[in-house]
Amino acid sequence: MAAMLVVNSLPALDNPGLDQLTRGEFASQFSTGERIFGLLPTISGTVLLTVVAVALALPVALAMAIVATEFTLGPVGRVMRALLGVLGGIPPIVYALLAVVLVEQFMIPKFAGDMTFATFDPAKIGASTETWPPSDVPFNAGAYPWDPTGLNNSTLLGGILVAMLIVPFMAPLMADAIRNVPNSAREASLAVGANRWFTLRHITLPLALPGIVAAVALGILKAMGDALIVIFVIGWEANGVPNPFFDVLERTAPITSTSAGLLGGFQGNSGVCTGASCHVGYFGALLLLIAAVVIVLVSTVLQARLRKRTAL
Amino acid sequence: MELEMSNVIEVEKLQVSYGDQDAVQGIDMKIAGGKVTAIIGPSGCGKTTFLRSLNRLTELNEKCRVHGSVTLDGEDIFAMDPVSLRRRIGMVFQKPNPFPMSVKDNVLYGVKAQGGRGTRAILEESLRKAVLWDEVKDRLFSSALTLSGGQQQRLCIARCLAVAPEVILMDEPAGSLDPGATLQLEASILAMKGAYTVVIVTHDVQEARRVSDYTAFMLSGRVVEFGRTEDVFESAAKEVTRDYLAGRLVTAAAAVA
Amino acid sequence: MRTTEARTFAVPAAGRLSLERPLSGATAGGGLLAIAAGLASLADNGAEALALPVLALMLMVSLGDISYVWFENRTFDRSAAAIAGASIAGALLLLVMPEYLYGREINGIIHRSLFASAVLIAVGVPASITGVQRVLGGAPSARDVARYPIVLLPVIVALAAYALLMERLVSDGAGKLSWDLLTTSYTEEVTDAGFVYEAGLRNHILGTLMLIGLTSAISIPPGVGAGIFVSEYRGPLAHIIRFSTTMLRAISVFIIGVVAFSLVDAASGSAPGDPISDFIRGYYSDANGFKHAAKGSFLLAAVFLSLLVIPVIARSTEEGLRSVPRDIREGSIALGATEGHGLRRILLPWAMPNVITGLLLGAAEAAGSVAVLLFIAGTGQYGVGPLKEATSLSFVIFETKYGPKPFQDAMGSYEFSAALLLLIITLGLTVGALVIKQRFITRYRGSLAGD
Repeated sequence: MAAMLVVNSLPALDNPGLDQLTRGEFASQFSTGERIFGLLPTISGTVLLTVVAVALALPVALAMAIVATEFTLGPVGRVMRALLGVLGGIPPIVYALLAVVLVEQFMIPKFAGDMTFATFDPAKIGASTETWPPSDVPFNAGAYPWDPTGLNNSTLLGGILVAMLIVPFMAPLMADAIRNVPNSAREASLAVGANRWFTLRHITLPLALPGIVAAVALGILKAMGDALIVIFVIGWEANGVPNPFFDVLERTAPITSTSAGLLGGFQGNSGVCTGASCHVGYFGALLLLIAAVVIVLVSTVLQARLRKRTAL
Repeated sequence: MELEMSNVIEVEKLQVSYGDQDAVQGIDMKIAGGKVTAIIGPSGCGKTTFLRSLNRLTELNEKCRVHGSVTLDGEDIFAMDPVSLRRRIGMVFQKPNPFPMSVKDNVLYGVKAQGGRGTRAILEESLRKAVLWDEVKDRLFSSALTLSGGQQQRLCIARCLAVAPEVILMDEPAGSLDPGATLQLEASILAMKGAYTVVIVTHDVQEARRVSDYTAFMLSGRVVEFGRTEDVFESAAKEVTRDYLAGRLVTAAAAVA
Repeated sequence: MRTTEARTFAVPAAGRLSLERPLSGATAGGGLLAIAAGLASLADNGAEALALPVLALMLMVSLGDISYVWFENRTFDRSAAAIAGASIAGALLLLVMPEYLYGREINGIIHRSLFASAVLIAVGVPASITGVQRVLGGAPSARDVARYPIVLLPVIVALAAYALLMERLVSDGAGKLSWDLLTTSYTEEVTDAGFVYEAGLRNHILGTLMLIGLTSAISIPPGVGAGIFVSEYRGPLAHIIRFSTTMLRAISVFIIGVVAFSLVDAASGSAPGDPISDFIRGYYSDANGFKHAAKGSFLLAAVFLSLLVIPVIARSTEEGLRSVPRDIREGSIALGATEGHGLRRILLPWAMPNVITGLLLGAAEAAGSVAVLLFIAGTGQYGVGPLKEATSLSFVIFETKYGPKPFQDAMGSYEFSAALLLLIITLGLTVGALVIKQRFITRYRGSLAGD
């Protein structure tokens, strides 16, 4: 019946989706005001957000999995496994609230400091008083030279949130993959005089790789899908395509948020969408589905290749 | 039992238990250097547990408790670093377990694990000692998993030899091999005599007779009889030993008799 | 050809004055200190002041290492040199950097403490590894002890983040919780003076419970059925189902919501009172008794939630059935029992703990789900019932930011409380599920369950 769901949703998405689509859908501007529905910013938003989230989550999840499986002495491993179970029970929207906490405790101190425009001390950023304020930035006494409220919309923040969401999801899967490595391989390595770290690096982890890849793929899927919670923080309008390296603090919105915004029409509307918004919204969802299928296919192929290499 | 060669491993009152079950109960044994010692006995008599306690692999199981003393060249193995111990006492397992790597990487794995450099000389010498060189010398870079069962087992032996251990433990090494491969395996074991001390666990009584210098017969966690192979096979002291060697059923109770 | 491990430190003979142990201890200690300082800098901007002194300390210790090794063994201690070099480089970097880094391209400023952390950890980790390793004598097992704890670092940072969240939830949410809040329902009225509203979470709590109930009721039969099917009968269909289950689980949350929405959209043509509209959109009666269509009914929500929950139950059931030891199965067949009989009497009871676990986990999913409800839920002012407008605790959190204005005014500050309540429910279900799994498996199945 899960398979039937897929079949069902396609017509629903295609129908309204296709006809209005061709009109500038990959333009790089997006603004409801002007009725320009470019999807590129939101696609790049999804990609960026997912990349940041997975990059943060992968090492953490892997570390947790290693702690859960290899620390068999004493309580550490057991505590870890219990913790993973508990953390996994936290529903996604709760993480959205975390944003508030994170902004206060982490983002602002690290990225905005505690100064207002008036009290700003140029020495702190190494600029001299002559060159401050920079001439090409319009003077606005009420604003920072950069916008700390922009931090709320930053990809970095969204990435951290989503990462925290997918870690408890990925870690048990990776732990299973590590545990499923046959003991004979481990014993053979130890019997020949390797210590546990060497065994972990050269035998256990390579053999667990297919399972880890599967876990990562599922993590990516979940990140793409649950990025929705980011809507709480970033909003759903993706305005421009940010430069991935420098604009980590810029606002971007992933597909889920944008589609949701388009379809739902928030801020107290009756929840019914009209015309082009609808179609683009549906199309966004369709894109998401296609991306999911692609990722699953790629990961399956990758896993098969890895398994063949190690003949598991 | 008095033995004329120097004893490499001396076991005293060794007791190994899993939880509240005793697998090995009070074994005293002296294993002679440069010779092959076989340990025979029915399934479940504790011979594998005994073997694994010699290189402390039993410690991998949390519920395992070991009492007694085992010394290697006079040093207490339980006071040593377990990893260092396993560099001096190697093990070959019942089911061949080559790593999913090339033949060359398999053999040199242990060397690299110990921080050494794997040279071609070590590679060739180990494979020759395991009587495998001629068969794989053109296939050094192909995956170890493409070898036959018997070849894989000898590869495991070569891997073990590459780190130059003093002692080699073998847990029913021919267990999953066909008769032809078994004979080749035994040839490699015989080739190791003199240079290495071998302790081999086997349920194939005839194999024990073929390869070993000394034989120990275990039953229910105890060593019932131990001596030179010819002595044990031709004129065993205990009746239960004779029964077992003749292929008759032996019961656990007989061990205590 | 024996390969021996090259030991950098020779074991000191008795009686000789040796500095190795203290030196390695200092390296290890310094390394750990550096790591701690790095973590502190992450947490607090001021802690970056620690960076320079700590780096200086590391430098001195490693120089001491290098000189000692040189004089004793005439060898060059490469790792200590690397640490010394890194310390110098890091210290220079931090000295040169202004307090905040600012560049045209970066749309913001980056505080120096971030870099201080990075430098400190980069120096601290290798130092602590080599230090601990040597203090313990350089044996290969010592290497293990030295390296494994490094894996704990990311874990600690992550756990700190989770703890932060918990702490805020409890302090903010619990503070605002009151019996009143729990028992009043949100209502809004239009009076001549404008909106009058009453804030309360009652309907949302009840809504969550109703969703759990409805969804479970809908999901159990097909869920268990699917589980039985997949585990007992071979065939390509089983594989397809298992595959799509796993895949769709991760991403379908949103897709399901979209599909639900399209249904609502499609139904928007029909008028309230019409059974289709009632089922899909729910309805409410206003003050004059007229029926209006709402955004989505509980039933609809439950139906779609069950699409999420059925795979969870199915997977647990399958897992439970698969764990039945072969001997028991064969025993049943050997005695001449039919498949159905064996299923009912032996297999299902055996798998029961798993089924219950799946149920609880599915309920937790239903409770926590927002994406599915996104378009079909509302403010909960109309009460709770299968055909009323859907709402739940999870949704209310979302509403506090994106709901109608009056709602935001009234309930905006209760987001943490709602989250706290939701968390209690979901965690309760999840932990309960895990505990049941453990407890029942050992008690119910005894030693046959294996380990």
